[in-house]
Amino acid sequence: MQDSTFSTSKTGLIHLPKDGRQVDVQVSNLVKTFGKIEAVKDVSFTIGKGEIFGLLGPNGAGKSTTINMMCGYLKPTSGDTTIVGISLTKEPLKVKSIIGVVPQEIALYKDLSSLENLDFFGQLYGMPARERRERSEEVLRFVGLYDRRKDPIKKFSGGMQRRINMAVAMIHQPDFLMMDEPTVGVDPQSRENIFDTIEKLRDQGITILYTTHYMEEAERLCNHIAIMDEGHIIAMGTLEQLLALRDHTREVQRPHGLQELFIQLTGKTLRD
Amino acid sequence: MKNLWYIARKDLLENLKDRNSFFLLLVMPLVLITVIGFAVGSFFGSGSNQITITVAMSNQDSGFLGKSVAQALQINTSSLKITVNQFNDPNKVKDEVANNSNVNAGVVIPAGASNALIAASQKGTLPKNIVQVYSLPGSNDARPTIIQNIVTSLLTSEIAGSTAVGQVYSVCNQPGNHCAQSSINTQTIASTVGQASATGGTSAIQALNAGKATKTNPFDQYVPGYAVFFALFGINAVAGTILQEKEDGTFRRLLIAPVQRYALLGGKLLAQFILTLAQLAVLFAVGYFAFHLDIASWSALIALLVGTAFATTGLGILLVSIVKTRRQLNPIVTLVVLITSTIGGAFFPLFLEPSWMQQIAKIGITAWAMEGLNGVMILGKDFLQVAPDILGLLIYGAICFLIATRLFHFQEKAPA
Repeated sequence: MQDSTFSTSKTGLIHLPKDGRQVDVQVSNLVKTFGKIEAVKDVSFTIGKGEIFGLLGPNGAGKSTTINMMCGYLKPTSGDTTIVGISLTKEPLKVKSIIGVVPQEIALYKDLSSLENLDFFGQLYGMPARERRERSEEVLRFVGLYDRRKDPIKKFSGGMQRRINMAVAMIHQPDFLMMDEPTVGVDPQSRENIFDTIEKLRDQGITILYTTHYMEEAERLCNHIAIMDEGHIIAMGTLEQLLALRDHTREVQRPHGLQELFIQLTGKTLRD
Repeated sequence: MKNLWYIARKDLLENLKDRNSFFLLLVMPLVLITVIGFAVGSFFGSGSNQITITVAMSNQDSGFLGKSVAQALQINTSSLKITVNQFNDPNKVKDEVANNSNVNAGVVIPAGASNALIAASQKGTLPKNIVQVYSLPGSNDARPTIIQNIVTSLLTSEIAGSTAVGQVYSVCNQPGNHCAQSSINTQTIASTVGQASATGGTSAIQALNAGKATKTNPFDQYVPGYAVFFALFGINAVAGTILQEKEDGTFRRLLIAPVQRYALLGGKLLAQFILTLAQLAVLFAVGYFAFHLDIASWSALIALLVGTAFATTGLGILLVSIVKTRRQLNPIVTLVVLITSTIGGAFFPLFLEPSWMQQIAKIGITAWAMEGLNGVMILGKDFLQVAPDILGLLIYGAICFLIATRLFHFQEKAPA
């Protein structure tokens, strides 16, 4: 149970409600600099258990760098991430064993079959052979690709590869799943399938961090949303709280409230 | 440690599934070794110790000398085979030597050569220009010299025999001496003295062997040479697989998994080491059974192959820690492989190079590997004699690996 308070440069203070939720993930004062570039500037937030937390922001806002620090890929310049009470800085291998990451790119061995990919990553997470086999079949059914389990990944369509990309992150039954734009470049059917999968995971009590550029995805899936820009979190709260921040005198024609808010906060200037 | 093996096994599985890489790994070196071995094997040795010489000869002499020279050139032993092509026209002999690359020397015995020899002997003078031996000018080919030596040796014995006969007659004809002319068998005197002069010295010399014979099977050079050459191209594979994983994002995925970093690099190293060793083992096995490689010490050979695979893999890891993309990697690997292979003895025996060049060549893996392999396969050295090369390869690989672990970038150096 925690009350999170954040200062933001554009919207002032936002208070998450004291809703009695159990905090599963705590990100504390993360900073990352690359030489003189400060990519992430003192980012802090919490994610409740079984929650889908949306991390939104334009290109170069610092979302991926934040995720990279939260999963142990990048060492933060300062700050720490705690997952179910375990510090990533102090016990990186222990934290890595209870988190899963769905990367933005299709990070799979394309000459190997989906079953071989799952088996390999299962080995790295220390799963015994029998458990790996059973769990591989389970996640393949979960993402609807059990019948194609022996086909090499390179023969899969983009949408199917995205689903396997997600399945690999779930092989070891992580407590916390980070999904970095998992629907990029997929057709509406595959996207719907991915949404269904994410909702099932949420129903199973898995905590999820979700980044996307599609505001309707965040509106549909996320309990809490943070908007990042230029390395800062500039707004954070539930969908309702964020929508309440909108300046209703501007951009009234926009169909999606979150999209409207996003543009209001981050501006229309191109980022790349 | 388990994770190290899992990563190595995954890499091996990926390679097994890629038939093209297997083609490059095994079939291409074998094809190249076979083609080069048979095509240019004669530059290194004809494949046996027998020297073959073809002679164009024109015998105009009706006496004993022409027959003797023709007979002397009829040689077909395990070490020397002379083929004599007879021509009536002496000018044809000159043409053959000048224009036919298959003819190594020409011999012309003019008419009256035997009589000229006898006349000179009876006068007690040395005969001049009785037989002509032709060869190409400015040639380093030793084969015309062999023919010249055979003819010279024959003429020496004939002159000695004829001179002896002349001396016998000369003594008999001196005042006060009485010889029964019919009892003097000039032919027996001439041949006995001639043979004695030709072979007398031979029996006085004892021919002995020291050390081991130098082998001239070209595949003893080409199999290890090209095997090491292609093993070095394995650097592309070890470095390429890491760079590809970085580009595909799977490397990041491995770093996110609960895997120690040493296991990650070690797994890659192990997989490439196994692949390179398997490649070398198959090439040498085929070489041994198909091309009858001569291996003086199996333990030394195995240790050299292990050392070569280890050093090659270490160099691959070092390169990947320096270059950033596969596009950068390919020209660097090609340059490194071609230079170190050329000066390192992959294409011709290292011991033929000047000693200073041999020392410079040790900057590359090839020189260490080929010095050892030439030693074991051509010079008949044993394990202890090539131990410095084995040690050199192992230290080479270890140094590369140590530097690589210092320079290797696991994390991104720019914003993601």
